[in-house]
Parts: sequence; structure tokens; C-alpha cells
Amino acid sequence: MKKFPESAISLESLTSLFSQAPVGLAILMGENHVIANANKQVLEYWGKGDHVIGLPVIEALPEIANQEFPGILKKVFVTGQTIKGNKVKALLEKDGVMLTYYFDFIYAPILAEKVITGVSVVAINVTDQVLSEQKLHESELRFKEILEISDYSAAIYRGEDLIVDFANEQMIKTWGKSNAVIGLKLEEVLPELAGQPFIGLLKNVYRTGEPFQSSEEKADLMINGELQRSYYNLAYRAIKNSSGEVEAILNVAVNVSNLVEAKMKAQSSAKGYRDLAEAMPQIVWTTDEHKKIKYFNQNMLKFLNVEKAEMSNYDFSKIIHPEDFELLKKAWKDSKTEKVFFEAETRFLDSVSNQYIWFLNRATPILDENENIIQWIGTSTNIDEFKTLAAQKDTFLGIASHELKTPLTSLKLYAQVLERMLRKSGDEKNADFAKKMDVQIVKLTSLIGDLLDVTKINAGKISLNEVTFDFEKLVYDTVEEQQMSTDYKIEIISEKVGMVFADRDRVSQVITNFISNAIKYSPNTEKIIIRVFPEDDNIQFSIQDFGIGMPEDKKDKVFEQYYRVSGDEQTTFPGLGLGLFISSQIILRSRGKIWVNSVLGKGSTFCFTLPKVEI
Amino acid sequence: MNSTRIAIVDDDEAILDSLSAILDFEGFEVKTFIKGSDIFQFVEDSVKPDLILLDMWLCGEDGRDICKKLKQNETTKNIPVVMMSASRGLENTALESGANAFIAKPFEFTEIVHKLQHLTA
Repeated sequence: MKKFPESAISLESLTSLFSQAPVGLAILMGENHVIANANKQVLEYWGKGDHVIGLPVIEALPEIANQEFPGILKKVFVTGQTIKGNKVKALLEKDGVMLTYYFDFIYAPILAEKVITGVSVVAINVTDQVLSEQKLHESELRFKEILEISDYSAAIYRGEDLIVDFANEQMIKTWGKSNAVIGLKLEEVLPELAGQPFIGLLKNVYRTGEPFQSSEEKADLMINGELQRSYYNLAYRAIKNSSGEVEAILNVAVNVSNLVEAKMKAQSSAKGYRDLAEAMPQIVWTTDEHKKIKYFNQNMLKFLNVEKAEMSNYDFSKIIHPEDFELLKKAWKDSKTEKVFFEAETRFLDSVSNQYIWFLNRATPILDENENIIQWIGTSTNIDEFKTLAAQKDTFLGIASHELKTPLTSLKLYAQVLERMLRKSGDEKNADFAKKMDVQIVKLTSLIGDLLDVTKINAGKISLNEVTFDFEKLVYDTVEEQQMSTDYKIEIISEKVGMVFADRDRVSQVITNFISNAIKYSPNTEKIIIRVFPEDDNIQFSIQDFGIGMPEDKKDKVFEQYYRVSGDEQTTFPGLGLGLFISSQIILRSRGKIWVNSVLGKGSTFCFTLPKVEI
Repeated sequence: MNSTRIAIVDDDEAILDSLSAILDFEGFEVKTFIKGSDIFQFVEDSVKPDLILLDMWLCGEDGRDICKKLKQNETTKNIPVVMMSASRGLENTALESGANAFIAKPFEFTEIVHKLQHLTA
């Protein structure tokens, strides 16, 4: 310690310095450390008045007896060694309460003629600093605890060298490392980061204090000896000390690889669908919920003869055939309100030929989780050729039907006249042959009729000439006609059921078909019972036979196209398997129901209903 | 012996031949026409047919137009006309053109006899 030159400093100024210094100063003399002097500051630390001056320090501050201070004082006094204390805890009594303080201090020997006569005490109260450091430390610990249990990967890098100060389990796992990385430089822990942007970014955050954040950042990390690519949402944030200087960086990362990969996959599959849409011969399009075109393939541009840029404001109404406008509007409206499949056949003006072309437009509405339409995905198929062919086919069928029936008519008449002539001449045998010819002609006529009907049904072209007629009378008329050509006894049990509105010929065709089926499938009996009765708002017709019947699982199949009930091995039943299909279509289109009840080996009852008309 | 006179108009010779054969056999007096327009000349004769069997789709002619003309003519309007066709669902238009009945080809002979007896009774 330097000695102040005696001549330069007066005793008064030293006394003033001693008393006014903002640090605690005391002179403790003798081996009992008698307080020879103590400035205001130290007395305030002690919580005592100046009455303690003259007392041994242990008497003035009995609470320190068991603390480290008496030992240190003794050591200084005995050895002459200056001892410094840094943030040393002291428990001092103030107003009867023990309080905790922290002090930085210097205990130095006082020498007189090279003999230690006392100890000088310089103390600075650092309690506030220590407590705030403790708080900071505690909050840092808590912070780390939170990070430790976090689902996110988190790490703290200290200093400019980015020493790994902390890394939670998730981060250790992300790195494919162990806890041994704590205390190492990040660059050493993850040498594979060389050439990747992360170290540079972290150092920049350290330098500038500016946070860095990024989404879906690609990172290649060496895991189990293999470089693996993952994607992270990243945040680097500077941790500053109380002076605002950057001390460390907090790194939080969320692995979003699954999300990114799914997104990439979706993008690639979206591309796949777009490629598919481009390869399709149809016009493919999508619209938003307001029916504004969003996507369209090249075929759309080709048909409209426009550039892609013109599509955003394209007015489709100018190419729709005026006669199809309302139909299209209704189909859209229905699809929107009912959230059902959209389908409409419409004509669009071909810009090249200036002719209207038939298109089949179909679209499926796409709904969100709240069942709201978010878009339509649709196609428009050129069906112009199909439409022409269909019209040609209808014409052809009409002509074919007429032309086939004309020779059958004369053939049938020849057979009938032949039969009559032979019978008249007494040649019963040949008359029977002529009769058989006639029966075969009836079958042929019926087959031609069935084929034409089914073609019409499949094309949706069967037309019903609906009129109001007496149902019971129709049953009697039809049965009378059928009874002429069969030996089976057709019994009718009927009630007055009133009128129905349907195609009389077609309903008669159904009854005829039911009768011929009943006859065909009951080879060993000769009785058929027809019942006609009202049932609520309908009339019900049923025909019961006592023939081969059918198993339960075949009951619904009989109304399918080309289905035929098979008999046992020796028995086969001729026919195209179209009669019941046609019958069911006629009844369904006449707003009725059709079904069969049957017991295998006992017989079947075929039934249908038709709505009654109130006159 | 049935003396009912029947005129048949059809563009198909086999129909004319077979139908007249059976009607003739059953005792009807039959006259056939392959061209629709020929019927007009025939009906102007003093001996008018009791009934006309008229095919609907004749070669180059529509049986319904012929029927309308017959029904508009004072001297022929009372002759019953039975229209025939191999096409289904034409009964309504046949009746609209003034025909008294419609019969779909091919038909049972008994069916046509019923109609003839009913209309000429």
C-alpha cells in the first residue's frame, strides 16, 4: 500500500474522506478488534449508532460470532495478510430482525512500527447486486426447466464461439448426439453445418442482437453416421444481460419435415393431376365457390379459341345455346343448393365452325369440413357425334321395328288362313301345324318387341302415352285375350278399383308378361289367380301361380336385365330374360311399385301397384 | 255368306294378299289398293265399301291425310275407317285424324274380325 505524503494531505481532509466515503470504513484495534473508528456508512450497514465505538466488534455485533468474520479478522491480525472478500454473506441484526446482506470487503492490517496494532475494514454493500444476480440465475434455471420439458427442440449457445450451454432432450435427439455436447462449440458438435447457413446466421444474431426466424428451413444433419435431410421452423433470439449486451442465443426449432414432405407430395400429385387433365380429351375445369373458372386445360383454350390471359374475364353466356341457357342455370342452381353432382347436356358455339356443338357437362362439388362448397371440379365432353348417332339409332330402331313387323303381319295372316282352310277341309293335323306356326310367330313378335323396348329403355327413350282408364276393365280385356291362347285357367278376383293414369298398352303389356311368366314357370299346374284390389291411394294387381317358385335370394334379381330363373337340370325355360325388366321399368316410370313373393317349389306371386286417379 | 265389303289400303303386297285371303275365306267381299289415292276413285263408285282398313305409313303418303280427306267428304264420311300400323303408340294420332279404330300390326285375325263386326253392325 502506498503511503500518502504527509505534507500533501491534511488530517482534516483525511477525516472528511473517512466520514463521507460511500463505502463502509472502520478501524478495529487490538486483538479484540475494538472499534476505534467507524464511518456513517459502516454504522448504517451494522444498523448501529456511534455508541458502538470503543466496543470490541464482537460485542457491538454479537450476531457475527458464529459467522466467518471473527476468524478472518483474527487471521489478518495474526498474519498481517490482507484478505479480500467478494459477495460474502453476512447476517446482521437490525431492529431485532436478522437480515441477510452481501459485502465485498478488504481487511488489511494496521501497522505501527512494523507491529500489527489493528485491522482496517473497507466494505461495500453489494446485497442488491447479489440478489438480482440470484434472481436472474433462478429465472434462467426456470427457463431452462421449461425448455427441458418443451416439445420443441431448444438450445442456448453462449459467447461468440457459440458454446452449447444448454440443449434439451429434443434438441439432443435432433442432432443425433448425447449430453456430452454441453460445453462444446456448436461448430465442433455439428461439423456438417459447414456450408449450411446456420452458424453464420447465429453469429449474426450474436453480433447484432436482431432475432432471426425462418420457416421450413432445410437442414442436413449427420444422424447415426448418415446425412439426413429434415425441415425446421427456426427461431434464433439473443439473450441479453442487464446491460443489454448479448450473452447468449436461444435457438428453438420445430421439426416440420412431415408437413413439408406432405406438402411436396401434394404439390407433386397436384402436378400429376394437372398433367392428367392436360392429357384428357375432354375440357377439364375447376371453379371457385362462386362458379368463377379457376383452372382449365388446353382443350378449353382450343375450343374457345382464346389466349390464357383472356380467360379471367371470359363471358360464357355468349357461347351457350339460347335454348339450353335455362337448363344449365337450373342444373347449377340444383347442384349448389342440394350439393349434388352437376350434369347438363348443352350446346356451345364452336368459334371455329360457328356451329353449336353438343357437350355433356359434369362437375362434382367439393365440400369443406362444414359442408360448404369450396369448388367444383368438372369436365365438358364433346358428345356431338354421339348425339347424332343416337338420333340415327332412334330413327333406325323405328324403321327396323316397322319393317320387321310388316312381314310378320302377313306371315301371321297366312298361317291363320292356312289353319282355317285346313280345319275346314278336315285336315286337323296340318291345321295344328299351321296353328303352331302362328304361336311361333307370336313369340317372334314378342321377342322383337322386347328387344326394341329394352333398347329404348336403355337409351331413356321409352315414351308413355298416359291416359286415364278403368284398370279393372283393362285386366278383364287383357285376360280375355290371353285366355284364348292358353289352356290354363286364369281366375280373376277383383274389386272396383277405379281409374289410373298410365299408358294403357304398356300396362296391358305388363299384365300379359306376368301371365305368360306364370304359365311358363308352372309347368305342372293349370291354375293362375289374379287379384285386383285397392290399397290406400293405389290399386294393387297380383298374379299367383303354383309353379316352381324361386329362392329368397333370387327374388330381386328377376327384375334385372337378362336374368332368367333356371329350373332343375332337365328343365330350361326359353326367353331373353327381358320381360320382367321391361315390366319393372314400365311400372316404375308410371310411379308404381313392383315386387314378387315366392316360395321355392310352391309358386310365386308377382305384384305391382299404380297410383289411383280420383275422378 | 257375309256380304260386307271391305277395302284394304296398304303399300305391302303380302299384307294385301294375306289379309284379303283370310277375309275372303271368312266371306267378306274384299277390294285391295296399293296406292292410297286410288281409294278416292273407288269410293266415288255407286257401290261403296262398308269399311276401309287403312295402313298409316304408305309409300309416299300418310294414311292419316287420306283418312282426313275421307272424313271431310260428304259421301264418304260415314264409312268406318280402321287404321293399321306396325308402329306402337300411334292410336291417338290415328283417332285424331278421324279413324274409327286403330289396330297394331301384327294382329290376331279374331281381333280384326271383332272390330269389323262392331263397326259394320
